[in-house]
Amino acid sequence: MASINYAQREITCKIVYYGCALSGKTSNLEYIHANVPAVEKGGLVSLSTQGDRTLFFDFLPLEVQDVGGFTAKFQLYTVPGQVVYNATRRLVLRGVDGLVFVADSQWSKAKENVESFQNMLDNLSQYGYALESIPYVLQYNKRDLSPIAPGHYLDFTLNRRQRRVPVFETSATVGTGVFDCLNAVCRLVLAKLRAA
Amino acid sequence: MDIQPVIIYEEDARDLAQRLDAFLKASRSSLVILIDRSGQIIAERGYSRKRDAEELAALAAAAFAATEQVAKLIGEDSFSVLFHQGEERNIHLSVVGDTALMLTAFDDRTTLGLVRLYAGEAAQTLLPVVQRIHGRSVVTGLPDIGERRLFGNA
Ligand SMILES: Nc1nc2c(ncn2[C@@H]2O[C@H](COP(=O)(O)OP(=O)(O)OP(=O)(O)O)[C@@H](O)[C@H]2O)c(=O)[nH]1
Ligand SMILES: [Mg+2]
Repeated sequence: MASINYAQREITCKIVYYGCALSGKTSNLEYIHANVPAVEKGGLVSLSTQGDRTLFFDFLPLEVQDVGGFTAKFQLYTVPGQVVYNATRRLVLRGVDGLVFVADSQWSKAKENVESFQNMLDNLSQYGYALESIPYVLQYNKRDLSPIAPGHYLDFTLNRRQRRVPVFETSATVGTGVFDCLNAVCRLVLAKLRAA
Repeated sequence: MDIQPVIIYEEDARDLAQRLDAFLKASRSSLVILIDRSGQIIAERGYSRKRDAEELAALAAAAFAATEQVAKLIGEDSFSVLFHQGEERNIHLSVVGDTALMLTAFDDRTTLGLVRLYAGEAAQTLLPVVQRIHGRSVVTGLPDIGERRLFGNA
């Protein structure tokens, strides 16, 4: 949950990258970690198995000084996408302020994306959270591969709620679109706090 | 349900610092971090390297949450303390109400018994402050960043 510390002039927000197994969540954090200047980041912590699959989460703290007189801190987390890890996936959502849903654009993953989105809704509801009140964006990842589903098909399956949300087409391993997506969710989260 | 932010004003920060300092002194511990259950630092006293505390807080909240689930699976729901014993330094993790945790790092200048005793007392004195920083809804003076790109401009 966001915290606003007027004594230290700090705002801290929690952003979770969610999505099905192998969709590229960890790759987002790795790219961000490799490409933000040292003053803006802490270490990337990855709780993963030997084969690099996320077991619990990845964690990357970011901060920007001088955002309207505050230091803005964003704590990025990923969840483990593998279906069996649902218990830990749910724990990571506690106190979430913003979500990036990372879809795998490959045709073969169409069903898994939708199931993962539904699983996100279910897990949010376990805390009494509703997606309607949480800022989120969609990321259609692996645009460099083929065959992939066109954006409008992914919109049709994933962006069909009352509130249409921003969509980013990305290739997380090379970084295309990754920062656009991050900046968008950060902006939405800060705007939501202001409106509270 | 809207997720309410935690809002910490000067006097809250002062009250938290004073209570945590008293705890550090009494328990002879080296570091104490008050952590929101979502993994964020609420307050911190004692010595840690700048970025380590954030990492500690995120990992401790996760470890606690995972252990709590394990406890539930074996039918135990009044689970309230985690203790990691190291060669030189130890970590004690305990609850402060339903929303916060207190992480204490200590070495052989003190004992687990003392830390546990004073952590229990500290939780009592911290609780009213932790409660009042939750559920405040008026937020003022926050930045409007417009279309500014915070990251990746290099
Ligand atoms: N070609 C291509 N490969 C990608 C892209 N993003 C991720 N990958 C690859 O997909 C695989 C899985 O990526 P991860 O980032 O580990 O996926 P994840 O979502 O964290 O997976 P889990 O932790 O199991 O949930 C890796 O081999 C990545 O290199 C992309 O945009 N294009
Ligand atoms: Mg991963």
